[in-house]
Amino acid sequence: MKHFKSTAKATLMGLALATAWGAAATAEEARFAWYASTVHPYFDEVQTGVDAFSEKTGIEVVKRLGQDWTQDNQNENVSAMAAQGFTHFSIFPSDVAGAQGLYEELAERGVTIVDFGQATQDPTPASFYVGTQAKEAAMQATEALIEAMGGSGNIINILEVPGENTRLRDEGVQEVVARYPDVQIIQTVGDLATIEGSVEKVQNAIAANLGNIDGMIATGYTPTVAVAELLTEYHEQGGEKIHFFGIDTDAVVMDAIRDGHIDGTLAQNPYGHGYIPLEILRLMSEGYTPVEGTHAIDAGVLTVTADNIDTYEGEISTLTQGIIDSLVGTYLTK
Amino acid sequence: MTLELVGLSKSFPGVKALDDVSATFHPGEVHALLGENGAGKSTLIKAICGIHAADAGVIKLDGETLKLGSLRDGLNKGITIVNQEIQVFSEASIAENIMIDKLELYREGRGLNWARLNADAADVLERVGLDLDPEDHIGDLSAAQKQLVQIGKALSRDAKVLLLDEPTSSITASEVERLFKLVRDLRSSGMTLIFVSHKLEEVLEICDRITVLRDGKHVGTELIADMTRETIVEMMIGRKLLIEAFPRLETDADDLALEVTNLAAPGLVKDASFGLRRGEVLGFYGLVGSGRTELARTLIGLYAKSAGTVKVNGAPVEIDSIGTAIEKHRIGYVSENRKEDGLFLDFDIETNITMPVWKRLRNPLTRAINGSRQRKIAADLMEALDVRATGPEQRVGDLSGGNQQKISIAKWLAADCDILIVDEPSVGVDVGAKAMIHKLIWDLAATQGKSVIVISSDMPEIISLASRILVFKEQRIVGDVPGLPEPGQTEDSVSRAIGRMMA
Amino acid sequence: MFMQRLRAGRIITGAEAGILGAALLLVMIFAIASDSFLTQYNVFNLTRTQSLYMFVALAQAIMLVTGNMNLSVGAIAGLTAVTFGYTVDTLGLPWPLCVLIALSVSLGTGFFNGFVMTKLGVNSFIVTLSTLFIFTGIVYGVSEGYSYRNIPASFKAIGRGSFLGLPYLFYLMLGTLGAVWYMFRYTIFGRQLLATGSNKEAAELSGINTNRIIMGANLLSSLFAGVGGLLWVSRLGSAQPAIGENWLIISFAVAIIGGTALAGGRITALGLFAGGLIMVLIKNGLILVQANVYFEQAFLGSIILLTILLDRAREVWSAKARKS
Repeated sequence: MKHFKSTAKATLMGLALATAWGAAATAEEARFAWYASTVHPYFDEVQTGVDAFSEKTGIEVVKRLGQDWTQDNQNENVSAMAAQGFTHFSIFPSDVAGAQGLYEELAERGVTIVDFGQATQDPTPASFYVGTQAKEAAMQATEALIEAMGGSGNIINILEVPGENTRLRDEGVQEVVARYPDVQIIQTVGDLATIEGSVEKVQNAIAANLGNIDGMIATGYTPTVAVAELLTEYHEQGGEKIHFFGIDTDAVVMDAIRDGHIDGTLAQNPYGHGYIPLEILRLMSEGYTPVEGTHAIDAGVLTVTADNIDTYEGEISTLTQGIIDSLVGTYLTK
Repeated sequence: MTLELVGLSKSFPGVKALDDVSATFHPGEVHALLGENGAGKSTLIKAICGIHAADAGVIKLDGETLKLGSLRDGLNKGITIVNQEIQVFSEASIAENIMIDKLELYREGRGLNWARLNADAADVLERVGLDLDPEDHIGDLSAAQKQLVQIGKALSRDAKVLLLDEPTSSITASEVERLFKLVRDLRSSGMTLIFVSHKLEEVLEICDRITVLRDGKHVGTELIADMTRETIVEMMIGRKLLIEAFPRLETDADDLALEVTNLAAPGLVKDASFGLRRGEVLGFYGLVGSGRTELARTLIGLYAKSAGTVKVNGAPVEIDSIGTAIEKHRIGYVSENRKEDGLFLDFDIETNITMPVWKRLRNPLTRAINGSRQRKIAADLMEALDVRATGPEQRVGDLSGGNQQKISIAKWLAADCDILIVDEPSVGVDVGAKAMIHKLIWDLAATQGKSVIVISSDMPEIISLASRILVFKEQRIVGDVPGLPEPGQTEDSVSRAIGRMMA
Repeated sequence: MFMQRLRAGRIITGAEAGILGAALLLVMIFAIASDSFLTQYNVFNLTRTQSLYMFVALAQAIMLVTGNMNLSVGAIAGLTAVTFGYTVDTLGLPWPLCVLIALSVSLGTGFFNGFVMTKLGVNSFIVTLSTLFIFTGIVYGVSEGYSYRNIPASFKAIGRGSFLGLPYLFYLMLGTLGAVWYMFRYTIFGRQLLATGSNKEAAELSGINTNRIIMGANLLSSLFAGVGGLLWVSRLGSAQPAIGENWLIISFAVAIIGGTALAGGRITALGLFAGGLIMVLIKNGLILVQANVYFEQAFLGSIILLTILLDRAREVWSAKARKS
């Protein structure tokens, strides 16, 4: 009921603001675009947030997906869109360092950008970043894993491809582990770019430490899926219990949680990653400017375990609404 | 400058390519180097310009003994070769091609003085009578123009000795005239010119002196004024044939194994008609590109024919692939390029020999090729053809040229081919093996009733082997000459008859 | 009889002995260096990964033998996996039927590659580079990046089950390698593949229809890639569109370490077995010795290069021995 009310309120507010925007639009003709690297289940979920925004506000948002994960491809496509007259972009930067050049060009044309999903490196022409705070999320997952392990034991730390985010996640895991004297990282496995490669390496790591592993933590999407598959098989074949927390809510991972083969995962807020940036862009098109010193907006993560696996989506909606409600004042001002 | 060769010898595995060759080339003369294929001409040329080091003997230039280890050494001494095979940098300009090894001289700061470079290149072009812009792309020039540019490049390097290797083989008659004018100019300027050609008319026209090689040996050096076409040919092939003519095979002119009428393949063969009698050795004589190999390859279905009919044993046939030629009509083709497309050098003898007949050796149930039958076929043929090898499992690449050639022939005997086409049977084999291969080919016709076509540009070979010789020129059959021994025919008369047709 | 032929070098040739020796050496080193190495869990998983690698490598090796290559092996595997996932999960068809459909699709990709190579005369590098993108595009177009999870338990059993402590896949690999060995040693098709790769012109002049042979190689290559993709589905328990993404390098590495000539004309089943083993052993070993994760690729590359250099040195020595 409460959820309904807040939604209704947002819609009313949205309508009011949309009318105001209609007047502003004639002045500078704001046109909204959303761009992501290429097909991926994460982007599908983000798009549900974008669609919800369009539906509520009546503002047309043109969505485009690129052909691959390279920055080159993104540069070409986004430049072409800017040339078509789009003025406000919500972008997933393919390369957090490499996107700078593109952003600088866009900023020179007077385009407003908000990053979603991952943040371009500072200093960046992007006005805001909306997404998961990589390090904080890793810390939250590690805390949850250590709790599931009962506060002590040996951990294998599983990292995705080397990069800025991976480094932050690695730091997050290590910081939390350092707080628990009875917990050690006995092996770090890295550079897990593909599903087959992840399976092979994690399997090797299990073999290398067999009988000595209490938990594993994965902070990237691909390794999480691989470990969920692997531990399902491992436990089904009578292997000793290994606790595991991963990231993202791929259906394979959710199945493994329901069946008790892994403990849980961190749900990011892809809906919020879609909705919140566009709300910010809309407000900025009406003359709101960022509050000094703000940039990253944590869209929140939620620990999903067998207990809340069927209800966590509602909790995320509440989280999103809270952030939307606090945008004017906390992050934006006129 | 006077170029003097003293006792040059050079051997390759199995062949003595040069055997104690001495000769002197004088300045202000055009000196022809003559000989049949395999006589040692190309080895001698390569020794003179530094590509091959001789095993024995010395090369002197105006009395100074040269030590040549590479083409570059030769160039530095003023010895330059011009041939059709020399690569040009086709993406670069004419000027760049001429000056490629002298760019250092045009360096200016970090770049090149292009104006000076192009002006110098224009001078070179003028010297060889080419009216071209030095900045043009060399790739757009004709073969003759490229050749003149090469000569110009040699002149700009101050060449003393110029070797012209088959300079007229792919240029038109008017271009030949232009080239010869330049050659005469260079002669009067005192250059030493060495001219290598198959075309005796040209030699008679432009040269002052000839040196003839045969089987790697120096046969003689004569003033052209003392020679005629006939005497030159005599020197080249020898007064007496080195190889005995085989006894004449009795064949029936009406019993044709293969009958070809008006066969044509675009750009390769024009209007070819002939019959191959059963049990006969028929010769195809002509230069490379004259249509002889092309006709053979069209017959076996490698090239598509555009017109004409082919009959095998009197019945009209369509041969659209080599597979059909072998399996249906029992026609085998021994390639002229043994190493490139005739044999699998990395495979063993038995695999090479039995490849066309694997289907017959296959066990219907296991689909496996019967290894012991394969070995027996190979071993039997090796014995019959006297192949010298450690056994059927020896790698073909390790065999001598003559034994390799026997393997190429054995392959088609294994396939029971009744018609055999053997292209250049004795290229790259030594004299002894050559005689054995000739005997083998003749025996196949004489005792086994095979019908054989021998394709060759080696005149003695074809005269001694074939009972009839078809002469090829410019993609056509231009004549039909009886071989030896035919009443009233001598080896000389046959070679003269062939020479007349080819002229 | 068998021992006689073994000694005569007709079963294990010099080339295979070198690479097999290197694999055995690695096994011995790891067995001594780490207690975890010879555990049942590790052996099971090592042989299972090796078996999967073998199909990846065969898909490449069969093309290399003919002097061609296939850059689209991984994309074919992905397409086969997604086809299987779509038919078994989305359409709910019985899995044996889905296997047939999926393998038909992979054979279709091989036919397409082969058709462009032989009929249109396009170089294999260019053809398969293009189809790599085409097939990958179809994979993502159909799956939209999602994996298919409803994989029947009886199908998963293929990739997860074991017999006498070794995975089913291991026996499947042995059987396949045995068939490959038989094909190249005894059958006409196998020998014509070798002949075509060794000297295409000579093969044509010997009456071999080399276009047919190259088409056959393409079909076999796609079949091995397809089977490999399906086995990964079975082993993972879900049909991931990302299957095959890392195959390209592995396919070349295992094939070449295993003694397949890049220029064509040479392949050995036993060598491939050893090549796959070396590859999994190196990766396993790097984890066992806790190699720095950020430098891992450098270690992997160095060890692969070292193995090939050792093999090359052995070849040079034996050539010298033959001459003297």
